[in-house]
Amino acid sequence: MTTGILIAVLVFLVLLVLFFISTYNRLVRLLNEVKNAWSQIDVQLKRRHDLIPNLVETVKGYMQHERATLENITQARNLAMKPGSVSERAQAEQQLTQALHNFFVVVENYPDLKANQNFLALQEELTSTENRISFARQAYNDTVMNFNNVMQMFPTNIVGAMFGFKEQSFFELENVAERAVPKVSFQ
Amino acid sequence: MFELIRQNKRRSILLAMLMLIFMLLIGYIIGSFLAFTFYYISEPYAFAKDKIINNPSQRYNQNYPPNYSPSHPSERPPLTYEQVMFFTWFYWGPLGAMVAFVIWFIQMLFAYYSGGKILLSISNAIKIEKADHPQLYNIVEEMKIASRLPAMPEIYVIDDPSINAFATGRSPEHSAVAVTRGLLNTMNRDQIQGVIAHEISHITHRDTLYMTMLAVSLGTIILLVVGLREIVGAGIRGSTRYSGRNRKDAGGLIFFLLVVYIFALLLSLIAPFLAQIIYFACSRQREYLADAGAVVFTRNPEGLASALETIANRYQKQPATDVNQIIAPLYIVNPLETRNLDASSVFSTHPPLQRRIQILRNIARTPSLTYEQAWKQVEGKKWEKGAFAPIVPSTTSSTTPITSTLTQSPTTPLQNARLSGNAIMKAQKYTFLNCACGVTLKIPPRYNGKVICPRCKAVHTV
Repeated sequence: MTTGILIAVLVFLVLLVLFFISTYNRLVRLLNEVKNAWSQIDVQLKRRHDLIPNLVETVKGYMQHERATLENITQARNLAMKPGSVSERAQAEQQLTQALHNFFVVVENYPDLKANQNFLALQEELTSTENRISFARQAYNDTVMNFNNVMQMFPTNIVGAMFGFKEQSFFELENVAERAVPKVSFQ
Repeated sequence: MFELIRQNKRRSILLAMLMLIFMLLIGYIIGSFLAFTFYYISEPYAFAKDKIINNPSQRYNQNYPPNYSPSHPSERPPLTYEQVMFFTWFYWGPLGAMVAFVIWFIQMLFAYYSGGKILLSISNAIKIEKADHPQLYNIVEEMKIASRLPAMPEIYVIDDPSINAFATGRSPEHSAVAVTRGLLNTMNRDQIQGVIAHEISHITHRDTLYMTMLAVSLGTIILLVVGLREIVGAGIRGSTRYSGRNRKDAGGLIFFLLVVYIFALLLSLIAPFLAQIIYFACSRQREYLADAGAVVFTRNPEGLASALETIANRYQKQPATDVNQIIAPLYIVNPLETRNLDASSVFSTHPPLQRRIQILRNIARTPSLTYEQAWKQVEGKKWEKGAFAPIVPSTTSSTTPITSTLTQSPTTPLQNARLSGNAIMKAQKYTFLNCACGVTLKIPPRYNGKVICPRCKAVHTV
């Protein structure tokens, strides 16, 4: 009788340990995915920062009267390149996106510029970079969601709290109204 | 959506297993049939009608010369009926199944490692690099990021005016997407993105591997069944000659052969159809799932919807004919089925285009819908022939596609055509010469000599 109880307790303990090990490993794996996804965003942000001096150089000759717009972009870029937390950087990047937006609206007044091959190539690269940032952000947020799900759900949350894992923050646009801005079309 | 994929995965594994079992069964039948026929000829005693003869010297009387005796003591005695049956069903049958498996396995290995390459080479696809067509490369890389693919797929362009695209590759690490030149010419950035997202989700769902496996099983089954029919046919011809020599007991053998022949004939007629129905049903399911994946990656259902609409409109005007039915499931739209937009049969590789477009547009209209819900709304409905779901402008902020942050000025079809043409020429190592008058001369790689500019008549040497 007592051996039966002993065996039951032992089996229970072994199962418990197995559960702890597997949950811990799962959390580590998910956290690494989050980190990897974040580094993907970083790569794309850096790509954008590298493209901007090129862009400013290309358009300077055409846009003598748009000093302010160009300076805005350069400033926003310098601000965004400073290290900071996820939410700080998200905000800075949002400003840079806005500055680029304004710039491309202004470009419509310069038909010569729009015909420039260099500029067209740069425009494609910038568009793609914007897309990549969006997609990388989406992928990052997906990984964060997976991680946080495990962190918040019972009983895995106990393991997470025990080993000191922290919930990760999403890369969100600061101003939700910003997303509702109507699509600007360049016809 | 994810539930749908999981459910589908389970079902498709089951189907693949069934296909394999069916194949092994046919191998088993062939093995045991061959053994049985062989025994029938070589072991007459086992099949002798009168088995009560106990005298060993007499038991040969029926089929052997009267004073027959084993020429050597070690010669094995003739098999009994039970032994023949045992060897037939439990030795030669399983061996036949094993041979079938080996045939399948060799084909599978071959298809696994070089199927993609063969497919790309028979469609004359040309591999391009980033410099050849920056926009296409960028779109593929964007989708690679969105789908978290571990490696960048290779990109191919097919020099063909039709609008189509396909993906191949055994795993997400080794994949390729191919688009036709016609697709690059007619579609805008959003539409190409929708198509590429569809193809990449084929890769992430491992559809190419799965469909390759099904196709190989299908091929092996057809091979085996036709083989069985041929062997039995030869057996019948042989046994009629045999009966000429020994008319007395050939009747039973011929009857048996005829039964097997009819069985093999029926099987060889039915099996390919059955296998194809399974194959195409899988393919249809997976097209829906790839569409769903494309929506998840781009968050822009309208891109893919309008791309499909463009394809449908084009093929209604000029249907394609030269398409291999077995590789058709790999394309984004089966060119052979584009005339039939609103109905699908058991032999369709793709769901009806109209239905696919309707599902995507329903999601665009109410973004809270999952693909699965939209699919259920559309499932089973009937539409007027040839009418597509109208484009509905998005009203809520969340329908704004994920890529709307910067919009490019739209390019004209002429510009697109020039870009895609240049991409193919660049990939084939053409030399691009800029003449002082502004004309770009494109010179084939093997050409040596002088070129005269058609506008300013300046002479360039290559």
